[in-house]
Amino acid sequence: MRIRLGAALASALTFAIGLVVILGLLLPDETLLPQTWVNLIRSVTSVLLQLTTITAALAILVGIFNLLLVHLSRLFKRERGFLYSLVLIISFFVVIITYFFAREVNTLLLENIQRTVESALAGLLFFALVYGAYRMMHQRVTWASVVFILVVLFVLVAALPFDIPALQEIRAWLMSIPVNAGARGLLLGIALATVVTGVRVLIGVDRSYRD
Amino acid sequence: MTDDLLPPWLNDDSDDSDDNDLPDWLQNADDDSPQSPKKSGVTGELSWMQDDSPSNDNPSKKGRASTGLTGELSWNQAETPDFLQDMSPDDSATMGYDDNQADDDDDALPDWLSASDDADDDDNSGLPAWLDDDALEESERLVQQSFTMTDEMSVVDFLDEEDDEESEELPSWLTDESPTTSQSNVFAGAVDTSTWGNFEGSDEPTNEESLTDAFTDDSWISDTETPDLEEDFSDLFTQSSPTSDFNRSDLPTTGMLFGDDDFSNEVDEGSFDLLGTPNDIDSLLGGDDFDLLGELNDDGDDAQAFDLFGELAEPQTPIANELANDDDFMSNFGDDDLFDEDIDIDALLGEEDPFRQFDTNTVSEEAEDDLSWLEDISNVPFQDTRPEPLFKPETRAKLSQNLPQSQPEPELDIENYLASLDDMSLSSITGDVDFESADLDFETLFDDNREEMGMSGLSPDAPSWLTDLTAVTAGENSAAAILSGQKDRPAEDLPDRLKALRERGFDVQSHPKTDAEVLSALMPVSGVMLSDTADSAIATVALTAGQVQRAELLRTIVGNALEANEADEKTRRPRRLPIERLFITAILLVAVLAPFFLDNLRIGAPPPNQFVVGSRQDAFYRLMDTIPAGVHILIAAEYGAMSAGELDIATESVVRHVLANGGIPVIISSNAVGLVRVDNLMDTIAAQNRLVANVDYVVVRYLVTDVVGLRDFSENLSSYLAFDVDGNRTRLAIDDLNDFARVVIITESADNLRLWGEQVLPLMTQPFLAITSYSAAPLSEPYLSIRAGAYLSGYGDSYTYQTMVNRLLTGGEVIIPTLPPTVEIIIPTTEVPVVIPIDADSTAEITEISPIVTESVVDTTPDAITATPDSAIVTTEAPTATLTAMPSATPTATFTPTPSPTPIVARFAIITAATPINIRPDPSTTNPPAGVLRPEERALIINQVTGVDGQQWYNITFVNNAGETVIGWVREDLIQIEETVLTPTPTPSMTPSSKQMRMIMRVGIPQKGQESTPEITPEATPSAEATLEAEITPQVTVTAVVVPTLPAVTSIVVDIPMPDTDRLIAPMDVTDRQARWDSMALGILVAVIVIGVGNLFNLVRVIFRKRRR
Repeated sequence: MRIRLGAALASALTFAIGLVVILGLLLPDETLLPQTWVNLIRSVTSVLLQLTTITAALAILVGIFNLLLVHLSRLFKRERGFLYSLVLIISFFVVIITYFFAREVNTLLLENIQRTVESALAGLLFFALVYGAYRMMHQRVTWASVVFILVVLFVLVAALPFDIPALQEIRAWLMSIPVNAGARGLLLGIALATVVTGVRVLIGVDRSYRD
Repeated sequence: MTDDLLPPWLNDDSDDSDDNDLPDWLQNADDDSPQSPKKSGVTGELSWMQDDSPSNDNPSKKGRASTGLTGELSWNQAETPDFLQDMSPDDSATMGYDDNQADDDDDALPDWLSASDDADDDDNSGLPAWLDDDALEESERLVQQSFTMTDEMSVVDFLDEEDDEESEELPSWLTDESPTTSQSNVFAGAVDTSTWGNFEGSDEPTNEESLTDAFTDDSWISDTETPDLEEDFSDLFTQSSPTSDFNRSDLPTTGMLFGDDDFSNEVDEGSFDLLGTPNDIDSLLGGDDFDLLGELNDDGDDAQAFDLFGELAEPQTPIANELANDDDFMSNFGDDDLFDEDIDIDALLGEEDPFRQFDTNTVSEEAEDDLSWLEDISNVPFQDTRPEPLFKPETRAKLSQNLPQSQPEPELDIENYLASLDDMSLSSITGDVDFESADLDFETLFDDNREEMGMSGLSPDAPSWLTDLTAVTAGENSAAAILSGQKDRPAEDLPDRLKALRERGFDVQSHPKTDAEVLSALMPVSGVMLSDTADSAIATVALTAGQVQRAELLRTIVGNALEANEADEKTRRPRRLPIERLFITAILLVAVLAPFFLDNLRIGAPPPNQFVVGSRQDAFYRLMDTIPAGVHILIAAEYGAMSAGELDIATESVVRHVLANGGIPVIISSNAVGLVRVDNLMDTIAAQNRLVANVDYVVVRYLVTDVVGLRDFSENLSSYLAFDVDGNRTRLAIDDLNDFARVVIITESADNLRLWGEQVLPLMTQPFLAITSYSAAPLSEPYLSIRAGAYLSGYGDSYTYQTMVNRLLTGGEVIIPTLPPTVEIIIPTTEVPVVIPIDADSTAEITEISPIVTESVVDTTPDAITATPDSAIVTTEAPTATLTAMPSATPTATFTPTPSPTPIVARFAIITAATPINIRPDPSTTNPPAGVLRPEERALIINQVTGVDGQQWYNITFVNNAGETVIGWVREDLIQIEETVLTPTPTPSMTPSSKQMRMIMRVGIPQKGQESTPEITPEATPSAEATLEAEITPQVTVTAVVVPTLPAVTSIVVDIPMPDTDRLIAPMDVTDRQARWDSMALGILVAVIVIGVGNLFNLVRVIFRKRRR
């Protein structure tokens, strides 16, 4: 088995940094380690975290720059859809300029365009979901679909502003017991998967940092 | 052919030890000795997969039975290198035997071969005698007139043309004890019978039903040898004599072994001819490393041909190695009787089949899916090598009628074949080899690093048929041994079924196929179905119903031209108006919009005006309503524009609630759009209520990244809070999360809440509150129920909360019902610093502090009027329903007067202009001035921004001549900045209502003509007596008697604009709030009706359909 030096170094570096960060975050105040060491590890952890956020912030800038380059290229080359690129570039600069020099206009754009558009998109979900539920048993009927529809109807009816205590109690039970249990299961799964993924990255099984 | 015509190294009279005449590659092989692992014979191992029918194009080949071995490999067996016959002289010239040599490196070639490079066909002077055309012709005449070695032939090719009695007429070099004789022995010994059985399995009588498709494969019949030919084969070995000094380089390659027509018959019956004559190695291995047939057929590519034969010469053959290392190997061939017995096909196929060790039922199904080895099949040129029919057409037709009619068109294709292999998949042949991923090539197989390989010298990933071959012990399980143990019988004795199958093979008409045709034959699912007129074994395919289904499934998955055509047809269909969909959409639209236009269109009751006491919503409100004045509240606005309609009113309510209680909201967000929107919202609130950014509220800069960003925020709080969203310094002196009295997270996503719950909340002990969208509530429940227990979700809760906050802001009383005794909300101990304002010239008396303090603290220290209970006291006793008893549900709030503020670095602006300057209400010169400052006058700087003109503008405050406090902006070029450390001395001054507590810090600011370092600050140490009395009663009286000492010198008193905790916050606009609620309610109701009725209708329809059936 051949081991590339670069890969080995990357793995070692990742493992070392990951270990330091974990120690820095998990070390309690009172440990067997000398307090000087603890403070040192925590300081290094803090620096590493800040470096990460700074890198991420720079990545955003790089992404914006890249986005502009791509769309400027499409614009100048008159590629297909260049008009959309033109709209994007104009919007970008208008937002930037108005933010600094005409804040009112910027707010107007944000509230009357972006918020409206995004809210409209969210509103469209309502129609799509209702129609999808309506067609649920159009093709075939299964027990799963029947249960699904019953639960949907129940939750929706319970959300109606009718003062039906029994309905509210059942809904509360649903939310507190089955839904809560399911949510906790999901969160546990996420936690376990996060741990596994972290360990895999640390020990070099997942080599995304090398690619 | 006589020995004279043979090259010296083939001449049996020559000294075996004398390798001088041998080609280099043979010399090398010879030097390796039988014990040497090195052995050539690479290419032939898989040649049994080749199309082994003789071509009709070549009359000389006509009438031969199938060979199973192309001449490219058979040259190694025959006395003539057949490939030379197919090659131009130029090609021949490049056929060096050393793959390390360049094409033009004729020096390394044998002289007779290099000489042919430039020689004319007629000029055979450079060729050895046995290669000379004339000599060849002569030798042919001498050996057998009817025998012509072609490139399509193998050892058995010429046997095919021989009668039993004519075996004596075989080339003498085959009958002699020559190295080539041993070659046959090796061939006989090296054949792995297990492999035979493997291929044979499909013809097992016990598997007739499942292998019906396989029986329809005509190709095996096209290759079928007549019994007498098989007898010839046996005779051949009978003629052969064992030899102890055989030249190992003359050992047949594995392909030669398989190239035996008998063997190939077996193989073809079972599988490989059905696979479409995958007669190259790549087609089996699925790799691109070695394309034997491609190299051989590419006459123009000399380099490839050169490499090919280099491969033949250099690599080792594990099989041959095994054979060579087997001491008993050669002795087995010493038994002439071994080959005397006839070959009985029935015995091979019957119950006593020695190959039955292969249980076809154990074949895994995986191989059916693994068709990667077919990828290169399109590169396989077809060779028309059909044999002569054994029976007359009428006979064949009659026999065909006896064929099993299990499928409508008993024609073959790869699908047909695979379907027939329900119990015999490729894995039985190839083992568990993933040919796509396995790095199988001959260089690997014959690598010198044999110790790294398996026991047989093969890679552990080598297919089983190869490993089986290497495990063969010559004489025990060899082909010859098996063949010799079988009784052959005439074709007429075969069962009718086999006869029919045999004859049907002669009906197959083939012609050279193009790659596209081959591909279409092998991949019928690609949409190119084979025509019925196609006459080759590959092209004449038919699919059973099951195969059609599978093909359709595959077509559905991968898509193809047919699907595209269907899609086109669909697009060409007249579009039907989706009336149903439009109708439902219209109904929903009307239901959602109508409440905005019709006031009376209301469904149900609006959200309540008050949360149910003891509910989570009520706990939320109480925690927010008990915020002490002057404390910071962290508000995370983690939502974007999409959820703005649902969560905006909640955010605004929280902010106004905090401000009304005297708190300082510190707003942060990892959602860029959300942060900008909150900033705009705060601008609006600030404009309404005369709030100052970074003083009364702070909108912190964007929080980058999710997990890491939040963790960094927790660990490096002060650096994150150092700047606001506009890049201005916030001057927040917060370095611990517990400095925030509350943390409120407003989110549209449960994931955001999870991140906050994991990265931030564990590091703090203050109450944690949340507002989530309706959709995020279920997944947020675990975190909320553990840490907070107090949260709002959805528009309804926000609606009620807004109502309650508005009532508070408008001065309306909040009706607090008597708490049920079971309700107990435990709030962690909170040390809330409360700065007791001290009026410099008055004595304040504190009376009737609302929170019930259960311990009495008497502190006479004037500068430390602090009452800090050591522990929180939880009172579960229900208080009386009075306004002052409201917080007593959980009276754990700690009252901590802290009259020792930290020093403040104050910056002052000194007017440097020669003339009076205008103080602007905003950082620009467009609006009328808010005040005037004369030269050298001072003002306190409270903020700093970059104006539209690009210059720095300072927000300053000062007291004008009329005694009014003026707040305005001044440009940087008109002032000079001076920093002064101030230690304000607080003067206790408390008002009955904590919400109206106000801290006013008065400091002396030296003005013009005075010294810049005033003495007021250090001298402003009041002597105070504070007495805090607390009793365990619903109503506590705390009395503080403060006797301050006035500052010695106080020239000018300036109010430092600290957060105004005595704010009057305007209530929120609730326009259309009710309409939105009604819209939601009506929309949900209509949705319920639509979904319920629609599904009920569908359910009934399905039930009736089933009943009809």
